[in-house]
Amino acid sequence: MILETQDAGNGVTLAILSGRLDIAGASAIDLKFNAAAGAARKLVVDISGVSFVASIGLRTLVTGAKAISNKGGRMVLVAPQPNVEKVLRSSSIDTIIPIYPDQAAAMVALA
Amino acid sequence: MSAERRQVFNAALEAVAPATSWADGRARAEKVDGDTAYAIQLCVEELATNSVLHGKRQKPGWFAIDLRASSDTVTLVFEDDAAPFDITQAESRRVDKPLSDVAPGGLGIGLVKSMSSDVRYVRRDDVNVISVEFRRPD
Repeated sequence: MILETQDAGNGVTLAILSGRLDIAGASAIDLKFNAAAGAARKLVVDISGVSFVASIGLRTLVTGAKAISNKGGRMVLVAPQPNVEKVLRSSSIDTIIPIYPDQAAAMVALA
Repeated sequence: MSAERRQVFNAALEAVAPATSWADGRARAEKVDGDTAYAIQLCVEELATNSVLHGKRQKPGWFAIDLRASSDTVTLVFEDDAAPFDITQAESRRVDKPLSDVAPGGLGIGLVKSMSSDVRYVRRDDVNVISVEFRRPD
């Protein structure tokens, strides 16, 4: 599991996740993701490179989203692969962390 | 119906990834479609993680998985020596509150039920036996 972060401008932080967000993957990025969420007020999480997500990975995403929300900020997800999106929608994660089809749409939403 | 090829793993978090990989390999060998294979991997991940983290074992334990395929269904059979746990009676959580009120975690059982067509449970000879059925697409 790989996590890269960068300043996307306009106060938005872009986090790019790739790999399997399973128990091993979540363990690998939890600290760094929490740090990114702790430092960001607007966080776009591009998960187009995430091939698998389990409930432990959903926990990582929700924890980050709550940290940002507690500061009055927002976190959104971008471009999940079809089976990953199915998991997100099956568990209704999409009702608390909005999903956008691409980074541009996410940036507009957070503007 | 294919022959049984039950695989046993130590009840340890390090065994979860090999178990999902093994299940995926078996699914591919049975020519299971990609969406169903993904759902099988997810269910193995959730059941194995739950068994290891919440199995209430007093000593090193095990879990085992098997995949049984027919022309219209694939059945994942998950067994472990953990404390009795009837997954069919367990709450299926999904997010139903605002983000501020949601507690992270606890979504695994709901995912197992929502990603499969049927889940059954029996306790047999001090072993939990969970059968998770998936319908193959037409």
